[in-house]
Amino acid sequence: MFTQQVFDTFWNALVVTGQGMSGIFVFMGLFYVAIKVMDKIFPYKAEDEKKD
Amino acid sequence: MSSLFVGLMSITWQQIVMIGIGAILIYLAIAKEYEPSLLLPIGFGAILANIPLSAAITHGQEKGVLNVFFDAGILTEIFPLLIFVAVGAMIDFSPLLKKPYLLLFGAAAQFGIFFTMMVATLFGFSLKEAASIGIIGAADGPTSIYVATKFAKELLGPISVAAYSYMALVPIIQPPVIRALTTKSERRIRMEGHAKSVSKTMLICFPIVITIFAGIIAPSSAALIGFLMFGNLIRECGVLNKLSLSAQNELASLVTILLGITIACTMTAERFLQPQTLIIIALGLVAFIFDTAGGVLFAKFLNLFLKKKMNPMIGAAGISAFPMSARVIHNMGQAEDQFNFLLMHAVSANVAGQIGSVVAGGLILALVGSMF
Repeated sequence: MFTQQVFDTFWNALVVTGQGMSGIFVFMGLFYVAIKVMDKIFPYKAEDEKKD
Repeated sequence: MSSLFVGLMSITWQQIVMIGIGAILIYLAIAKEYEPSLLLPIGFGAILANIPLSAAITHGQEKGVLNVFFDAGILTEIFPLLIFVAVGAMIDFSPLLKKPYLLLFGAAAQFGIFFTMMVATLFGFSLKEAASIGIIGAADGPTSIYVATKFAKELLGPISVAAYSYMALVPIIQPPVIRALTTKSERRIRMEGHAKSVSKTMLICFPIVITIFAGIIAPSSAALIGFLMFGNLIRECGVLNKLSLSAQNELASLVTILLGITIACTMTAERFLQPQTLIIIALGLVAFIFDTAGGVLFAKFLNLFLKKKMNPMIGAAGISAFPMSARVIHNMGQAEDQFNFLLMHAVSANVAGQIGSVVAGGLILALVGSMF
């Protein structure tokens, strides 16, 4: 059942898993930084709500 | 006279089974309300595609209308991307922008995608097929369809059915996994309810900034994230209310009808009634279980370093199934302590999961695509 081809594919999947999970955390980390920066640049003001 | 009975004479038992499966999907959609907007068109389409000599599907040179829709709307990626515009217009990102640290759970709860991909390779699936099966764990139908269309369109039928069925079953799948991984005292942890508001300018800038960031880092995710964020920009800009409502209602409804019934053209008996269909449906469940486990275990891991502990159940809301997962977490918190209000945090994590699933889809396309 576990032929060399299956093992190779599994190994590739393992590599994609490592890179993929790291990649998602990197993306989310960047989004977090972007949100924090935007929050500094465009802080919430109570007047905004009144205008809306 | 015999030509009147040609259909009846040529029906096979496999087609009868598929018509039965179509009827079951319609039953689940109507009687149990399991994702009715998708399962009902898929169920009816499955019946239509399995009627002997059905003119709805292609036979030789004679093009069937379902295949025409499939070629025009799914192979070109138009239907899933239009659904993303509609979904983007429906999402309110403000709960997430108020608590951006919950983005981490939107990442952790994608673990099931990758775990399932690895398991699928052990069943002999190619890497592209395994990635398409794993993406069921995105708990996000359009992303599953989008990736499967690119990598394994022959598996689109079972992948779509599994994705939408398990999304509807989130209230049944998640609680036992969460209970198995948390103690009663952990489930009773209360979380700070107060969060500051976010400005209108920030809500408008968010979809633009995210699209640019994601597009530059992983260009293959640009279409997925771009269309989602375009829909959200229409919603938040404040000057396109009519378009926003159209995207949320008419566009979503029209494309959902076409998407569901079109996917069914891949559910012909000879393609669907294969042992691998059962394996795919079982692996879809594995994906949802390990998504939930990934989120909960990551929250428990963070608690090792936090002075003020967070409720680890919030991690499970990092999947994309919105708002079912957030409701499940809130209800479980209330079952343990009626004064424990987790809804706001769970909704934030759930919205993070919607972004996380799309990012995961984009990364899968980029990483797996780069291996061939």
